[in-house]
Amino acid sequence: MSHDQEIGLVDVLRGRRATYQFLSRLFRTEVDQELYDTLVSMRFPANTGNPLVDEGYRMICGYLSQASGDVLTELAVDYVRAFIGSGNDGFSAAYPYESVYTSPKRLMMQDARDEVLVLYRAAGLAKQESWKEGEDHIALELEFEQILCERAIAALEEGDEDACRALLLSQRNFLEDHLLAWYPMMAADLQKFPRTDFYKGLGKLTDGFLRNDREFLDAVLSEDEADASEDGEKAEVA
Amino acid sequence: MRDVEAFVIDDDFDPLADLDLDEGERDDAEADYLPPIPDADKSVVPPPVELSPAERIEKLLAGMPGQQFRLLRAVGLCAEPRTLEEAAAALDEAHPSPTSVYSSVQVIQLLERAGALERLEGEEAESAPAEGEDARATEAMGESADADVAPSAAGDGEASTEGEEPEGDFISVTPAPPCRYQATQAGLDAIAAHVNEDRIVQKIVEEKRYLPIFQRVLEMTAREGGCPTKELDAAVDGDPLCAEPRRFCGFFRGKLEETGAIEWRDTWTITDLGRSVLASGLFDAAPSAEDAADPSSLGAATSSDAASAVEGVAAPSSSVR
Repeated sequence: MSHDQEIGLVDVLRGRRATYQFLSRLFRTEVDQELYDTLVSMRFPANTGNPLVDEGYRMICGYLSQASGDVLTELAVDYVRAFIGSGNDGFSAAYPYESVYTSPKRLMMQDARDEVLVLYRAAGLAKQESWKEGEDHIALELEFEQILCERAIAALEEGDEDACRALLLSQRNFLEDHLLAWYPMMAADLQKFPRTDFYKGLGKLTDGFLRNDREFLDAVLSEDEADASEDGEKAEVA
Repeated sequence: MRDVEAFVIDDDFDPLADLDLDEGERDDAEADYLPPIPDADKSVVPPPVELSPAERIEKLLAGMPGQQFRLLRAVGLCAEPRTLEEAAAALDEAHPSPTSVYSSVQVIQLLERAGALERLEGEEAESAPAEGEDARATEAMGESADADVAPSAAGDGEASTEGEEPEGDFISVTPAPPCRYQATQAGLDAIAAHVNEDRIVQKIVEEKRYLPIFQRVLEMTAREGGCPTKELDAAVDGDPLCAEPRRFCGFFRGKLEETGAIEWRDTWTITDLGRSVLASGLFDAAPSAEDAADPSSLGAATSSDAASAVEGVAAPSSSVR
């Protein structure tokens, strides 16, 4: 990687980290006053080139622009409607757990949870005492990607390209093996259950961003592989 | 005698033989699972039940019986268009201690959803912008934190949907358009149906023998500052009319409260509606407590009342008041 490329990559990684953090927060708990204040003062990208991302941002922004009255309560009610539901048949909400979407009987705490738990532990991470949900919750999976991003940024800033590449590879693998293996199904459910455009938009935004991110990681890692093989050939010729 | 009478032992049975069991029918058969989930079509949201505004309003009122007059007051306050802030402030003033989990703003939103109120937007609503909107607009236009963007290419601005403010490659949240709330015809009809003297009178004369009790409760709550629960209980619970069948003050208070004749304002207080019923002369012809307690004076009571009265109301009156 050239110096210019590194600067560009660090900026992009910071952007990815912030987006993962933003999405993780929106899935983790209901919108509170602090987050709401941040949201209404934010500027949302309008033309990212990804139709799902653009539409997601537009829906969220559109909802916040039209909302009046007790917005926080309305969003809290819709959070419950979207992610918790009122039925017990496993088909009453967009349940934010990988296990639900990857087990035949739509149960929580299944194999997927065990798999991600192993990965978290391998990365030296343990859940906080305050977290009472399963580890395969979408918010935690997104936060895991955020942490890997942070580590990749730190590695790049220290000049450790190999570590950065390994971390990017881990991110892509986690994205392919987990997030992208089930989130699109949850995204489809997120178009059915919420009543507000806020959570419908969040569903689309996350779907588009994850697909975008895989394309980005594929591109970066294939560039690195090409560079590495080129270097190898030059060394052989020399 | 043979050891086995009813059964024949199959000596040819080979437990290791292939029994041609269908593996697919076993409950514990293992199979690799691959998304999409076969039953994904079950993940559907049931279609909403279509109800008319009048039905929705009745459902809302029935769901919050203790708050129905607060809800109806909110509708009445919006007979002329008001902004959300104005309507909420007026409702807070009218019901300072509502003992409800729903704030005034939420009440107005519930009524809008039920069809008792409607939002007016556009020129009519803009003619009187709500206070606080300017501040929010300034805030939205002031310091803004850009949403960090994933790796993406930004192109030229695209037409944004209503309510968003395009800023080239970005959109930002703009204040909601000024709107006002106005009572709908269905909402006004609900007020007419629930807030009227006839409803109170009808409830009171269901059992005419209790007219003196109702009168007593209304008079006590008509005092300045209202009447505490304990005092009402003391005035009613010991009355011979309440001896058989045993009635307590809550029985009468509940009927008056549910029809809007009295309301709780830190003490029990008569409403304007209750005051007009009290002044209407309804109780002028009512038997006194002593008369009502006498079975021989039950000519005006309904037959069922009379029957219940004849059974046991013969004790001498001992009005507490």
